[in-house]
Parts: sequence; C-alpha cells; structure tokens
Amino acid sequence: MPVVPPNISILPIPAIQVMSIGDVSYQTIQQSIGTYFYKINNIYIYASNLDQLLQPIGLKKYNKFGDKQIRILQPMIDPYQQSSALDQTMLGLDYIFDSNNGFYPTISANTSVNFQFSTTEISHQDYLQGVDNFQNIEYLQDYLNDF
Amino acid sequence: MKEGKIVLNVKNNFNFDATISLFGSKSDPQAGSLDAVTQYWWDITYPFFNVANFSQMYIEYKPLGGATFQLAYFNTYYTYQGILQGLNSLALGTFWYAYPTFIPSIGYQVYTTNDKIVFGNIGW
Repeated sequence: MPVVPPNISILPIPAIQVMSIGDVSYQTIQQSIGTYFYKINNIYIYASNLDQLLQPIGLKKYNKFGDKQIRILQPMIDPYQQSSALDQTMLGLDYIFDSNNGFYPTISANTSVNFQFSTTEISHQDYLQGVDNFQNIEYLQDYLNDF
Repeated sequence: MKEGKIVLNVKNNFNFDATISLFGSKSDPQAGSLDAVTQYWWDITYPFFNVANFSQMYIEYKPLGGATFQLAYFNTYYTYQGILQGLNSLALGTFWYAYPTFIPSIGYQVYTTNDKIVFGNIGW
C-alpha cells in the first residue's frame, strides 16, 4: 500500500476572484437572486487560451422532485480556428439562476475567464407559473428529466 | 421580464485548475470567490498509470481543537467532487479511469476557520 506525502502550500488571497464588469457587483447580483431569478439564454465565454475555452462547465439543478441533477456542458469549437471566444446557447436547457442552482466552471491555473450571461430577469410571479389543474396535465409529463 | 446581461470576470490565482460555484447556494463551500485556502496536494501520477481502477483511497487527518472545516475534493479530469465534513479519515470511493494514459491529478482544498488541522498522507 503506497503512501504519498502531501505538498502543502498556502494560496494567495483571494485564491479565486470573481469580479463583475459593470455597475453592479457580483455580491449584489448574488444577493438579489431570490428577489429576481435570471434565466440564462446564452453564455459568451472569452478566454486567452484555447484550453480554457474547452473546459467543461457543470450545471447543477434540482428537478421538480427535488432530486439534484448535474449536466456537464462541454463547449465545442473548431480546434483549428484558434478562437478565443465562443457563444454557448442555453436554448432548451431551461436553466435559471434561482439561488439554488449552481454554475460550476472549471478555471485553468493562473487564467482569467470572461463570462457574459445573456439573461432574462424573471420575477417570482412569472417564475412560478407552470402547469396547473385547469390545464391538461399529461401523466408522467417531464418525467425526471428537467434538463 | 427584462432582458439583461451579467458580465463576470473570473480569475484563478491557483497553480492548478479549480472549479467554483457561481450563483450557487450559499451553503456551497465554493460559492463565489474563494478566500485564502490551504492547499494539500498529492502528486499521485505514477502509481495510477497502470491501474485501471482502485478503491478506498484515503487521506488521514486530524481535526484539532474542534475546528470546523469542510473539505472539498475534485479531480481535474473528472468533475467529480464532493464535500466531507467532520471525519477523521476519509475514503474517496472508487475512481475509474477509462483512459489509463491520463495523468490524474487530485487536489484538496480545505475551508476552515483556522488551520488547526493536521494532514497525514494519502494512500490506497
């Protein structure tokens, strides 16, 4: 049974920095989620290297049964294009920042990434609209798969 | 409903890849930016090369002085991650590598109110 000793290092402060480019800070946006929800329509990702652009992004979501689902979004570009940015459509994923869902980007070492989320701000009233008893409810409609 | 844009710049000062949670739950240990993190890193490249799978990899550590902490672990090739709390040792279960030529790198970030944790070794 091999034993490997760890390398211990103390990382700088902050180890990972999230900055909002705009008037409203990331913390303010984060805190406002709950008052408003943000439906993500499109993500524009810019990074200085190709490797970073191809990093997978985890989307965590809870379905209507309360089960956690994670979908790995794998950005794809033409490798010969040497592109430094890409557009990732979220069409059909129905993904909303609702303070419970998580967006897990993988950031390469010593790299910075720019995310531009095209959002639709949704109020509580609009967000909670769904199928009600006065509509035709199909049995097992959307069974399990909310993603 | 209003259309808008959220523009974020995320900078990683780590010397290794990291996964964080944006707009996630407040209880997420990786929510938002990460403050100072003590990193314990095991270079376990070589012994894994010829092993298709292994189980019960473990880390030994001792929480001292009743420190509360969370340990998040991740793998840079698999986005397999989790949180472990309040254990004296932990078993990571089974990792399985479909491509033995991958160099698996596993890092651990320790979130703690203080540094009163002594880490032991990793082994399997």
